[in-house]
Amino acid sequence: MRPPTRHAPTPLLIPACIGLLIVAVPIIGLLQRAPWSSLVVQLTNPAVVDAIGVSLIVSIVSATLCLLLGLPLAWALARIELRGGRLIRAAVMLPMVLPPVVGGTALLFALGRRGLVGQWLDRWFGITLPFTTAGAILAATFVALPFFVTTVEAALRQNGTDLEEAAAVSGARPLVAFLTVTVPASRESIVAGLALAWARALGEFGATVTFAGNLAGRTRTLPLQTFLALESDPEAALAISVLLLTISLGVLVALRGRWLVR
Amino acid sequence: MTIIISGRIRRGDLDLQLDLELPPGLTAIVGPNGAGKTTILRLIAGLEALDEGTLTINERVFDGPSTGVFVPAEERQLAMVFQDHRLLPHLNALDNVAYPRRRRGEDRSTARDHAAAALHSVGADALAALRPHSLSGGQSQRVAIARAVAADPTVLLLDEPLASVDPEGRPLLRKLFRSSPAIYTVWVTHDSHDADLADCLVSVSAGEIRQTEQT
Repeated sequence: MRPPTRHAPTPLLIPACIGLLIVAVPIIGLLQRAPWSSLVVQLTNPAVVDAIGVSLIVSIVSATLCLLLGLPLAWALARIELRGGRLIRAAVMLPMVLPPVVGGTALLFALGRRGLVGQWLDRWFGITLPFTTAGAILAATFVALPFFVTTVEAALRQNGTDLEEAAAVSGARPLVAFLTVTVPASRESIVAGLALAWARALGEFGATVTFAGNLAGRTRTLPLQTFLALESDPEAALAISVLLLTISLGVLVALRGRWLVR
Repeated sequence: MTIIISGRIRRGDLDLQLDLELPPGLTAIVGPNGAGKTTILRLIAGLEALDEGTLTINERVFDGPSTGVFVPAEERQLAMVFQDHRLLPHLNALDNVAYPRRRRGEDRSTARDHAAAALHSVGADALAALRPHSLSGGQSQRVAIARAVAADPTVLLLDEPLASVDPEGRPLLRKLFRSSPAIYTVWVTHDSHDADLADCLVSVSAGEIRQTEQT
């Protein structure tokens, strides 16, 4: 807010407005061109329904994996003092800044049929990840996990160990203290991290298409379907974009409002 | 039957050389801020470990760095009232007080019955259903005291437990500490009235620690 007795300098306001326009104009353009009258028809088209199904499975399973693996990881990063702690933290955050296509390439060469780990998965268990729904889930988890971990780790650090000490003198073993005190006391951040991770998984494109390909009904998620439709059926691409935009806005409103975060 | 702390702990600027033998009953620890009173409680609680020496309670070694013995806090059967209360934010007052009994495996309704009795003993019956964020400082301190008392500890550790309680409420709680069924009650206080109630007085200042028996 502008202090009432001081003027905002014009040299700051002009670039600020341009910045705002860069974000706002594409959204307005999308909404202006959206096929509102045929939205329902577009979104119930069998190809789109398939993609919605794949996207729901991939994003929900991925968010669940973020919770089950990311919560202990966030706890370990916040509580365990390690010499290489900063390096480990940087590695966990890397997918946030890494181009997703690089992530997908890395996954392919690590977990592909001939990859470092993939060849053993294939030989011993007959598991092949590339070009499967499981592969799409893995790609989404790779990019979404850091969003969950950084959100929850920050909360655990901020909450400190005071309550865990209170639990310990009350007779709670460390695991019990984690489950009965640490987790419930940080639940708002856990839910916020989960929403961010889910939204990121839902929007994942680059790593998915590189590692899991673009197979209808198996790995073709909504972003992939949008990209595909752009060539042949722009109306469909616009309709799916409106759907994804609505979901993203919903997550944002829920995070900024008091639904998810105190 | 004693708590013996004989050893040394260094934490940042603090360097405490301890040679204490606390008898059963009420011990008061007095001294200026930052002298290490809370650190003594945290050592007994198992939230800090000695750098050298040993800590024994009733002849059992709880902390002995030279022999590698360290009994973690959750196995020491004690209770502590923290200076900053540390109630669990997601539980109401009743379930906060029931928490230590639940951790010992008591079923929910029995633990709640004991918790209700403990809340009554500190004059906080009316607070049972409230969450910590809606309690005043004095109310939350009473609930923290109830939680420690309800745990039926062998050692009751009190870190300035009356600091935010209003003056009218203090006599009841002093009486409660004085008559506590815990074998050892160790009470950090700034108030000389509190110290007068103690069987044993420990004064900590500038790294020097003196212990006197009182009659």
